[in-house]
Amino acid sequence: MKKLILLLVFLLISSILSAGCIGEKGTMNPTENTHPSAVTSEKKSIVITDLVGREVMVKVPVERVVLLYGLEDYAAVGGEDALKRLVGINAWRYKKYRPDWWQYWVRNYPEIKELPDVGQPGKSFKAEEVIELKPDVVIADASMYKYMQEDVKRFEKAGIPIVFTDYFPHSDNIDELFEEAKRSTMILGKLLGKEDRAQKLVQFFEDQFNIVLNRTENIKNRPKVIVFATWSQWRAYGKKGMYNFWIKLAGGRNIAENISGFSGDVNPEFVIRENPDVIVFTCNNNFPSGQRVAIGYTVDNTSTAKKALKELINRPGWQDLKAIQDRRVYLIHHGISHGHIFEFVCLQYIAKWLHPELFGDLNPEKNLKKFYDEFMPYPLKGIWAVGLKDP
Amino acid sequence: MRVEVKNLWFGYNSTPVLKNISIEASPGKVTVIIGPNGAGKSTLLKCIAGLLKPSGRVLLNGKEFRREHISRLISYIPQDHSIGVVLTVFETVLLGRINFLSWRINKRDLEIVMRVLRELRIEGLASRYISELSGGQRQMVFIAQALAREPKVLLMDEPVSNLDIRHQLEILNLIKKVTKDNTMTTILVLHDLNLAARYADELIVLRKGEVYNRGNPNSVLTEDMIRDVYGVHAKVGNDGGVPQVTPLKPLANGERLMEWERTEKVNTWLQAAHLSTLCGKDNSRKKANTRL
Amino acid sequence: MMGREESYHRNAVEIYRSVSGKKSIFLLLFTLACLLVFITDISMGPAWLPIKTIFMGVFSPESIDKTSRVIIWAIRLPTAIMAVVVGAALGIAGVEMQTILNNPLASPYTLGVSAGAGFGAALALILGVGIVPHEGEFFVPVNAFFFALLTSMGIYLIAKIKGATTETMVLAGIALLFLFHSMLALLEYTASEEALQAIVFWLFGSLLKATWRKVGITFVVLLFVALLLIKDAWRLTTLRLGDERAKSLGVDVEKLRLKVLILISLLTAIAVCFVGTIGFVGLVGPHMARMLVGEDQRYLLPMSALGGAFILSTASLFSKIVVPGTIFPIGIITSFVGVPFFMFLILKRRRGFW
Repeated sequence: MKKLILLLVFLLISSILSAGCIGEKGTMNPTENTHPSAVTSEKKSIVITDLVGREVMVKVPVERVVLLYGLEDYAAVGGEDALKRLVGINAWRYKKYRPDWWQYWVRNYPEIKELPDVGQPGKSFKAEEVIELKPDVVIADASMYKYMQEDVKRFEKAGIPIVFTDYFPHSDNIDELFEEAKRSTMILGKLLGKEDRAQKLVQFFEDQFNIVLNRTENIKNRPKVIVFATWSQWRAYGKKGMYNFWIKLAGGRNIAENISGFSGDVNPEFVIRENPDVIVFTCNNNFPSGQRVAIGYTVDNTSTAKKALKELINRPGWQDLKAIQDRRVYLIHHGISHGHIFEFVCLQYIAKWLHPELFGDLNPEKNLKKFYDEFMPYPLKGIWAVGLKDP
Repeated sequence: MRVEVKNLWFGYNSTPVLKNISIEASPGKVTVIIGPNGAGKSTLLKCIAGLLKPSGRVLLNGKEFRREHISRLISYIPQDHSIGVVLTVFETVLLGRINFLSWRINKRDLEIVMRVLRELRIEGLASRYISELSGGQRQMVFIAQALAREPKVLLMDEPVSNLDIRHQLEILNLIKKVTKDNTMTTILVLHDLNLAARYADELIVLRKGEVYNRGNPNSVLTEDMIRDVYGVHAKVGNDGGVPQVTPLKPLANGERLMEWERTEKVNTWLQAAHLSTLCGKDNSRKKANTRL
Repeated sequence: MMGREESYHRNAVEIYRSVSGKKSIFLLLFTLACLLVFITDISMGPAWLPIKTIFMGVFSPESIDKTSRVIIWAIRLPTAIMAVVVGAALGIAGVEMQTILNNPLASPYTLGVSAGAGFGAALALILGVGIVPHEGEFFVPVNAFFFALLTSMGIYLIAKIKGATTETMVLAGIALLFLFHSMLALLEYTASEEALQAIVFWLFGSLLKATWRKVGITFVVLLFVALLLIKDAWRLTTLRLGDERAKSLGVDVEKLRLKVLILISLLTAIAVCFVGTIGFVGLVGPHMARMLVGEDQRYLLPMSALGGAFILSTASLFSKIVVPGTIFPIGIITSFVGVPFFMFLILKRRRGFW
């Protein structure tokens, strides 16, 4: 009996020890991970083909992450637990491009503020700091790749894998977008060991798109619409702008489509001649002039946005435009329009604005809220889209 | 108009360039200033033209004038720094009438320009750009500009230094002629001693900012003067009443050094005296100089 | 005696006419060219209004429909007139900057005027800091104007203390240029992406910002400055003979420089603050004018104004038709038109044209 107890104790101790050992070893030698008691700290090497077509070997699940883009998508896949794995972040981009989002993140998770800011590729990127942080993986957006050719080589030499994801719409081909979002999300899932959740997220994403696409697929009546930026009076989104893709998918026609690039200035009289049915303005939460905060996480009523809209439509000859007469003028937060898994909400808003009769039952804000409730570590707040007709 | 310069001092950054200059020039006569490089010839001319503000007095017919008035009485032609301005000869000469020009050009100004162009025989150039002219032609144009102002006093800084012999003679003959015809007071700076001898009614020799000597060419242009002022052995002959200078060789180093020491001592003393009047506050400097 | 005077006079008049007749013709031709481009400019646009509607719209606005009236009066006319007025302003500012600095490379922006304006605009766009607490149409322009003038005043003061030689002014200008550029860079570093885009757009220059009030203000300043400069036309001409010759002709060179500096700073600041920094017009316009009429400022000054107006009007026209329905950035067009033209001038120039 004594011998038996001794044996059991010995087995117990050795199994605990070996579990620790194998856990340690596992990071060195990924093939030796068959011990059943080492599940929690098990690491295996996988090869990921990222969204710029690179094949990257990463040991997953990752424990130390430097995130250069897409904290929202990262958190949607990984949850609160994933936030704890961050060792560095591109705070520069958040502060400049999405100041309201940054504020909200920091308010909910003050520790994010303490993370080293590694900067924006092409602007303020600090590759050395990233290497010193010894991350298991660096996650970046495909649009950053062209600024990071040298950095990628240095990371490869230092044995730090870098993976590029991509949620930006590049055309109105929905299958491509689905494929892109699916691959990006699944990469995050694999990295964080949350493939099930990633799968659910992909499904959610596609479902939300299909709500609109199912009804607009063969639509004949295509209302005319134009989307203006707010930092310059006549700057509209052209052929390669994401709004153009959403407008097409939502069953509308972007009158500024002859701007060949991403955006450009339209001739004011062209707008009068085309007489759009719907006019959309887009901005981040800060207006360039006067620094007014009109929309976003930090805003809790529509009054500033409506005031801003009224100023924005005060242009010569506009009072007779159809869009103005019917008060079909809207302001939308630029951040929800592209580059993230919740970009479906922009399509839904535009679809509803273009075809109110067709989408009477569609509530984009509710769907966004649903996304937050199901996938985000904090609830949705703020104002994201405002219409002139809104109460 | 009689030009008198009395006790004129001038310096750049308290380094005196002109020291106690007193000279005179009379109407209808060509007065020529000669002297080696750095003697202060151009500076003196600019002081008379009112472009620099010296201490001492510049009198025209016994009176002192303010700068803006001086420009109506005196025409000053600087050394030619080839300028590339897109103006025709006619326009350039017309600019001499600037004090009388308005948007529309009146008949009298046109006549004066035309007369001057004709006197100088350059009517043919009237519609040419001055940037396209040769050096001699351009000098003619600026003389024409100066004459168009109908000046009482004409000052010219080395008017012929870059010209060939023929243009040198032509221009100096012309200057001589207009000086007589218009009873102008003409003061020239010349480098060529023989040209100076030939065209000057009065010669002024400058040496290190001081008047070394002045008078008619025969009395001034001597072998001694050339040795003292230029540091050159020369032979001065006579060509029909006009002195003829033939430079022989520069002074040997030993001779030059002696020469230099002798004059330099006087200079230093003068300099100190001048500084004490001009920069009386600058005690250290004054002391340093008097100690020498 | 009488006969001789007569013959002088006749010759003088002939020569004077031959010298100036050609120039008057050039002036006339360019006035016509400007008019033609201007008319084409207001005739062109994506609304494709018939010429008849445009003429009726211009001369009796009540006789055409409301939309056409808005297009003509609120969009085409202010933009087209702004192109002419700003072009003329930049042409004049450019030629006088070249004159007082005696430098063919000078332009209205040489002494850091645009850098100052850019900084002022950025201050308004990024921090919302305005010199005059006012929002709306004039918020950014007033700021830009103030800082543009501030730059000039800085140069004025330095020139006043150290003497208004071209070297002093250019060096002071370069110093201020770098100062404002680095302050602008500092602001840009702290700017949000949208504010940054707004600054870049502002600096790029655009006639889309034109309104009747802005056109009016610019025109009044242009007229005021042009008249004062014309008064000094002869004195300005002498400046190009060199300081010494000008001085000996009785021109107070330094006083004239400072006066002209103030006038053209005012002119540049007003043009820049409303439409941003549109390049090349103020450089090429004057050179074109000098090629055609020489440096008699009585002709050079209006000719530079016409040259500038012509270039900017043409650019305005092109910016509308390159991609129908859109406005191509005018700064790019002035450079595209200006650079080949400038090359042509350099290759064709006569000896002595700087």
